[in-house]
Amino acid sequence: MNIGVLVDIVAGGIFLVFWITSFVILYHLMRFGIGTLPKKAAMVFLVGGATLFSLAILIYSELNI
Amino acid sequence: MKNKLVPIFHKTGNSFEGQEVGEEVALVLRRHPFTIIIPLLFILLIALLPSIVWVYFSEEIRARNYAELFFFAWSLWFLLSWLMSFYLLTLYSLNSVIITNKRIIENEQQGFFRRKVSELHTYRVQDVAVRTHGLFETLLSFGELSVQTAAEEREFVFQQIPHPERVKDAIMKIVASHRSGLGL
Repeated sequence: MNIGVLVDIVAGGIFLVFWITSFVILYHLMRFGIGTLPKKAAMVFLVGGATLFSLAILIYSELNI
Repeated sequence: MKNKLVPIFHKTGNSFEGQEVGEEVALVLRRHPFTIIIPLLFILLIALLPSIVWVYFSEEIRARNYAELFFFAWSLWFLLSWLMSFYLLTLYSLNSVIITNKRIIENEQQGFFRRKVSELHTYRVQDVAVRTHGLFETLLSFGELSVQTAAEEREFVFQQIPHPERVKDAIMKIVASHRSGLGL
């Protein structure tokens, strides 16, 4: 198998797992969290996760394999 | 202005599912932050592992023209570390004990889809005990809080609670006011 295709499959899988798990984490924090701590954690998680995801996509778009 | 825009982050009532009418939250307890800092530091170290690989093998990676691929793999590694950190933080923040003027409710989140909620009414509390053992628990003042109801029922044990003596006093105060209110 071409290494480029393999990278695409692995990256796609990790991105999918990342957003599904992110949704579950945000859902739990907002739905079951009591007080302000879980809401703050959800905010930090979303902003940080979106930033890291953007960075990963940026690097992925620069890949030349 | 800021306070009006984002009240959810600075002021939310400690309301919870199943709260009864007239039930007021006195305390929301979570485990001592020390218990989450150690696993988070461990994840941080794991997240930084690729930097060690880069320091030792950067020339070889560049020579094989894999630098871009390496940085992409590193960014995915960071994403997974971020998920793992917040998975632990989610479990930490959802594992809580709520003390109200009527009940003590323990929420145990053992995984995303494994949750256990136990409760006991404060009028049934007979004894509250505090146990601190070990160097860190003594220095950072956290420990185990056990609440005993009727003899035939199980004991409620809350682990790694910060300032357990203060919590014990708060519970006993609620129990006493409840009993005096009932004329016991």
